[in-house]
Amino acid sequence: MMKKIKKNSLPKDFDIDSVLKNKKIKTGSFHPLTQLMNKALSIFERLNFEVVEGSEAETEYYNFDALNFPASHPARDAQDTFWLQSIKQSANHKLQNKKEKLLLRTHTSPMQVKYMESHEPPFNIVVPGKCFRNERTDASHDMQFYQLEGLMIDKDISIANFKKVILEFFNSLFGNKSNNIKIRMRPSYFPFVEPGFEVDINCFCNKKNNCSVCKGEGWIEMMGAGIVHPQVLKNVGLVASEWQGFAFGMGLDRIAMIKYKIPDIRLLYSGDLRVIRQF
Amino acid sequence: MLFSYNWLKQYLKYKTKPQELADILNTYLFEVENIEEKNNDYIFNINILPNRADCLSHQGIAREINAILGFQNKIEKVAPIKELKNEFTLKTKSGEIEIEIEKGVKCVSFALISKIKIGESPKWLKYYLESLGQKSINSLVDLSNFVMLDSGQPLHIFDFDKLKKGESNKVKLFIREAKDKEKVKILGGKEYELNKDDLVIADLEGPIDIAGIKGGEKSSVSNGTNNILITSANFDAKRIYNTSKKLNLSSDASIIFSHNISAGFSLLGLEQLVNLILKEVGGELEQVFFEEKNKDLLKHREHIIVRLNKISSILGKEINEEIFNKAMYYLNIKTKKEKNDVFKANPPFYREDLNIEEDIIEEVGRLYGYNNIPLVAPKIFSKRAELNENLEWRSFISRFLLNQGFDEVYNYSLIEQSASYEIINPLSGKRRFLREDLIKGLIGNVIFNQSYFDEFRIFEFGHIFKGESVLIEEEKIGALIFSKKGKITDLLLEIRGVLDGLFEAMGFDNEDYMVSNKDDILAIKVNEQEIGFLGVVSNGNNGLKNGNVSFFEIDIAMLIKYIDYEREFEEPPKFPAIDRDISLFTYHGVRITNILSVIQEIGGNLVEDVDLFDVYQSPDSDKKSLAFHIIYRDKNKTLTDKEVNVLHSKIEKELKNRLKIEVR
Repeated sequence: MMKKIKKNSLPKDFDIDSVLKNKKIKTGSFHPLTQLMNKALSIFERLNFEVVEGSEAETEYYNFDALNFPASHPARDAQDTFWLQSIKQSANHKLQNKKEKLLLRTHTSPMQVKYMESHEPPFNIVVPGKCFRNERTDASHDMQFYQLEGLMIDKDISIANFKKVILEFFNSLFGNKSNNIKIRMRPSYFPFVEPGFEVDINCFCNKKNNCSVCKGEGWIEMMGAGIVHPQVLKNVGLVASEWQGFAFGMGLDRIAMIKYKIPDIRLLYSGDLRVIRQF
Repeated sequence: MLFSYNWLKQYLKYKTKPQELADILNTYLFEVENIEEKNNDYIFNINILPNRADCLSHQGIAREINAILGFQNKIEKVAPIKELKNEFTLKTKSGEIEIEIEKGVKCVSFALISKIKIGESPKWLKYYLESLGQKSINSLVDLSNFVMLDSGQPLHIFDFDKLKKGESNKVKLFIREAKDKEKVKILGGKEYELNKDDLVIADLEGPIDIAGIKGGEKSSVSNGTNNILITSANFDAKRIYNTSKKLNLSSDASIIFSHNISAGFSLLGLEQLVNLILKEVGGELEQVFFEEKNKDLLKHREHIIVRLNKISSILGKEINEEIFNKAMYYLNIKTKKEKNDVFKANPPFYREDLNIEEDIIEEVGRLYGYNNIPLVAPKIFSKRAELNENLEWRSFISRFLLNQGFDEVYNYSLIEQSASYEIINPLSGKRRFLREDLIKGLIGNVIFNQSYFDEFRIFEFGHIFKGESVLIEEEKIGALIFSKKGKITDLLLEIRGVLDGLFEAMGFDNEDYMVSNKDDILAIKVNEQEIGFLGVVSNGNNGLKNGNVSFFEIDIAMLIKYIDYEREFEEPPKFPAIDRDISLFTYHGVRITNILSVIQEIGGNLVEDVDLFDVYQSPDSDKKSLAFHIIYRDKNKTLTDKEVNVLHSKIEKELKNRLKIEVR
């Protein structure tokens, strides 16, 4: 076949430099958070997780009560909350049924509850989404951020299973031939899990003292996780003694900042095309 | 919370370097934020988890370190230091003071010490407090602070002589709900107005203390104080939390009470402070009051049933009786074997966070070390996970837009302009309302970027919020084209071209959507349902400096609802097509859709496609010039020119008759 193609079909006066002024078709860029989210979701899809999404405005019940946050307790302060009201019913919010009090979700975990209320285990889900915290903003905190939440429930899902699944995930997300990801777990407290822990992965810096990510400690905080609290299972109408599994949640903004070396979280929401087009 | 390494060391029978101690704490207990070297000491900043009120003290942390080291065989037994044994040896002693408890207190005790001489604190005391960043005030206040930092129990010292005396010179104290609008002036002089949600300590005259939060000014100790009343109580945690939040007034005491510290500590704290004052300041113990039954507060708590196989099942690692018992022993949790593999576990009084089997499992897992648990793949899942359709289409749309040169942006959901829903407690006026559309944010992006680029295209996926009595949240796609060169009509055509392309790619046919006027923007309709809008912003408006903008915004759920992506093979046409053009003038705003439907109706199956290829709107009348390109084809035979001419004339005639248009 190749032999039949006529050579020398270029014009006789063809100038090789002329191809330098070709007409480039410009394609756009995905936002770095989308890129990271897509990658993370596709890893979980390959691990047989279903992606579900929830709403950003939630009730106090789903954001706190159903997740076993004790009322009037400092545990709620860790998640400074934006409370909502309709301007039509302004100042009326106190009259609302407390459970119906509206807020901007402080984490994606309300969707755990909503999903479990309407589905029978076993299930594996991940929930990506925008969350909000009422805290002062600085280079590493903003009033909005993205979380990815996961939930795996079956008869006897264990911490050992969690470690395997989450290491697979981190290896797919960050690992390569020269960097086998290691994880480390530390005790922690989240009212909707028991036991609860935090998960760190080894930093990519090889423990350099001047590393801006891990400050020379060699570990990066990645997510909070734990075994779903039996009270949460009861709250969604499951028989707590029959089901067991893990939940985890991680902030994507921070991971994006580490992965793409973005120095200030607020750049992600600046709409600055000089930033976006680098990705 | 800050902890002194030297202070902790007294309770430890094992020598650890500060960094080693930090590693132990990080791995088995709490996160150490940082360590600061200071005053020949190391100050640990430890993040105490909110369910561990028992650890808001040096003794608490020391208990935990000893448990960890014991479990690891590094020390023999729980350190035999008096304080850590939690023994209470005070005896009651009657006196002149009476107390009445009305509400909100689990336990109260007090002691009266006379003839004290307040002075400067001893060196050791100053050293500890200063290392932790606390200013030394006088020996009395310093000792009280020391006991709180050591045992975890907040205490308060009143100047006994400043309390109101009643009949036969007796002092009476009340712990009660504040009366409506009752005022208390606290240490430092600030006055707070309270109501019945708040607790106070009062004498016969009125409140002398906001219970559990801050002492009152009136009865505070000063250098001239001779006789003191020490109170040690345990207040209802929720009340203290709520009052502290409401008044925006917090103290070390209020933080500890809010975390629900165990009531037993109020006895231990009193004993420790009384002994320290007698030793370091002097004076005579006149009266000691506590309720005998409250000694039960120091007993081990109600048992929890724990099954070894449940521990193993949750951890994913076989835990035998030996490991379990060892963990329980060092955590001071009493166990009793019920039957094979089933135990009763009684936590110590201070572990009010341990209530269910899972709480005990966490303790075992934590001491055993989560890092020592192996990795085990879950059993194969019996159900196949469903693909999320919404996500698939979003990804389809964004790839389409990306290929058309659109960059993706993320904007804030909170905006400055008034909208249907507002934040009750905003961070700033700039972020006070919930956005009702994406376009305003995208135009904001144009205003930012117009200084750097001559033209660009951007899009965003995001949620918007609307509705009056019920909040409605919808997901939208917004896209926008900005150009400094392009004319506004060209930009409008361009954005419509993008939409046309997108709709076609998603399986809509052109006739499935139409554009109709609505205010100054155009509504996009599919099957008569409005699914979004499209419009323009011209130079000089909305902050645009030197260019024009065209945009659209579409509802994702509606879009997906109308997708018809199913395809079926259709035989490519075997017979040739014949084209004819038709040019016409319309008046009185005849709609193009009406013209199209006449053409379709008359032409029937023989009209394969109709294209509008020219539009001219006369600027000073309602006359409009339109040109259509019609493709005729018969699927079953070759059409003749004659057949097409007849049909084409019929269409022209019907258009004239029905829509009063003029064929050119």
